Amino acid sequence: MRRLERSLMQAVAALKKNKLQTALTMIGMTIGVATVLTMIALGRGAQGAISDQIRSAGMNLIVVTAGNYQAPRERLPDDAIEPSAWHPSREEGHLIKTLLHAEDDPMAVHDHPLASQRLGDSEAGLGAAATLTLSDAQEIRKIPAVQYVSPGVHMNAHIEGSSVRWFTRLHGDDVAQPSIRRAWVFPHGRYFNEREAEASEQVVVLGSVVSEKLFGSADPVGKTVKLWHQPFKVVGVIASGSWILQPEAGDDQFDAIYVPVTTVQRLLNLSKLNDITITTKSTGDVTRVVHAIADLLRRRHRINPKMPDDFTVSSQARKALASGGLRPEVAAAVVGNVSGLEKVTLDQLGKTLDRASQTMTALLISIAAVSLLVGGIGIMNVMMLSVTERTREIGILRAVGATARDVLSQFLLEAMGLSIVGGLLGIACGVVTSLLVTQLLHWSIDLSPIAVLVSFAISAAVGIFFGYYPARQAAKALPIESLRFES
Amino acid sequence: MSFVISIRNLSKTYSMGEQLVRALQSVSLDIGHGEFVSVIGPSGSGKSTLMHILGCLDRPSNGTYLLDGQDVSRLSDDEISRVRNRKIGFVFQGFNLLSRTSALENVELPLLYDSETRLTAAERRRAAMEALHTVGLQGRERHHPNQLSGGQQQRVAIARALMTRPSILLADEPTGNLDSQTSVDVMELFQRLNRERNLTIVLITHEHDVAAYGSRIIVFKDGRITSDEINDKRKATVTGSV
Repeated sequence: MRRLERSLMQAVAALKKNKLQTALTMIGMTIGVATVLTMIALGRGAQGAISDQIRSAGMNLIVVTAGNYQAPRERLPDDAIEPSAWHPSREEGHLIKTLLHAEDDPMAVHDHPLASQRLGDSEAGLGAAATLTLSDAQEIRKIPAVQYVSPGVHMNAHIEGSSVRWFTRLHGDDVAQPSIRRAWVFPHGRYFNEREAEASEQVVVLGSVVSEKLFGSADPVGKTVKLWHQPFKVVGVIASGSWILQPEAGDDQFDAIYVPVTTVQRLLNLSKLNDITITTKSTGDVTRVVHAIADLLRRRHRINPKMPDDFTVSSQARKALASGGLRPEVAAAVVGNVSGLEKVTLDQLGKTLDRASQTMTALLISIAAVSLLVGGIGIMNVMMLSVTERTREIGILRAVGATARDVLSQFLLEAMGLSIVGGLLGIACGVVTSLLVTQLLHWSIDLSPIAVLVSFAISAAVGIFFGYYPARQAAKALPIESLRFES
Repeated sequence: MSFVISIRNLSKTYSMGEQLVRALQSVSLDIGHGEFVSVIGPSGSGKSTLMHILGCLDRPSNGTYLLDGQDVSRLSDDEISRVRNRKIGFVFQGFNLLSRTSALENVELPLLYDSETRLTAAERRRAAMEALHTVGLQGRERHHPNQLSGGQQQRVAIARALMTRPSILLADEPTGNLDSQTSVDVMELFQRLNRERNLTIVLITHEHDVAAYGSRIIVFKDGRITSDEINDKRKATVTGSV
């Protein structure tokens, strides 16, 4: 007890005496802890921001799909052709086989349901009922707080380049689509514009996968491709602007082509839509807009209050994803990035996001490790230098009768004092720095108590060890060796 | 007669790189109570090594060392620390004061590590003040070493060495860093302490002037004692007090 008291007294006296050393060591400690803390806060903040962005990217998205799969069966429209009702005779079947025409040629004579007719299939379920029209979309546009509206018709189609034919996804969309899909970039050309959509011109925008398949790495803008045997002018190529989504064959966004919905309707003689994608100006408006759309469409479709909707408004498909075995944050990201679940290969997107999330976590861990290492080395240097410099002092203390334990407890207490005070200052500095960074640069940060604790503990441990170790060496040596030491 | 210091066949061998240096070669020596012994010899003669071993700052390679009848070479590190604290006062050529520490605190230092007397802070302070008075440094208690002259610093060191009332005062070239007048002052202080307190002093020097203050002069060369004589032409203290 007496030794502790004495050592404490000596330690405090020594810290006071060696003001410059004390200050330097403490600054080293403070900077070490502050650096680690800030780096971890920024790293976690970045991770959080990215996942927030992924999540929020689609949070203001509302998708209205034709049909209502939860409602009881609708009455069949008069003009609907039920696939089950069409049983070709043996001769007819043979005829189909021998002729085998492409159903995506609107000019061909068909003896089985056309795509346009199948769009009217009430039997086909979600997204395939023919209840939504372009004028529905026009009316939705007038609802306050609505930002973008994109009426959509989706199908598969063959697209023909000069020599290659590629079976892909076709989206008949509005000019607003790039604004809704924020992660798109245009390596070549542009999206089709208002005038082209208005005039239902035969223009097409290629997804990067399609462009690659048809034209290799060449710039396809201005070239002509064939769709339903009709010439279409390529005006642009879409690629992903985000590392989260990598274009892959078979995906819904980049292995796809985009044509004005008006053009699709004109050529295929359609009047109905598969869905209408809507974004609101802010996430907070979503619920209100969802109700407004439902009211508007019920009114426009003259639905009896007792009858169910003939459309489905979904603002998030989380429920559908919850059972899909995806991690929650990945599921959320998927929900955020796709406007309709039926359109995406969940597995693929899920895997991509999983990889991205793993990369981010690894990155964060390495940032933390590197800053701990750097901070630790800084603390180690300062501590070792200042204690080594005092080897002579240790020799003097030993010469006047201090035991090795006396010296050690003094230096240990000094190192502990420095490390703890420096560490606490470091925490304060780190928190202030992090807050300043968010305030001034608007970077997101995430101060986790565990990160604070770990950086403090590791820095203090390093500080104490390297304050203790050289002191131990000096205290264990013969006093004359410490006295001879030249610093 | 019981001796304060009694060494037998003491040897010390260092290895400097590949070479073995025999600093002490089987030295035997007895120093009685109240003696003022000057050890003189050229540098490299082994006298400093002897001093460090006598001061328990270094350990001999061979031989026995009895301090007040106690075999120090068998003690543990903690016990040797206590011996250094209680029985030995050491004065160095380079003073070896703690920098940025007042004269008073420097002098107090040995008492701090004195686990037997257990003085209070106030008692320590008073004892340190007294010691500083003895060496003629009243009024300089709060000065730091860098604010004191060489002679004054050496007096602080002497005051520190006296704090625990040691059996023996060891001085390793105490005047080596001092000018001649200050050297005389310091040597007279030693002589007075020897006379008034009957303090046993062993002093190392390479100057015959300084050695002449001792009552006995031992000449060292190549790690051996070459002569050991009573100094009958001892330098007398000029004044009665310092």
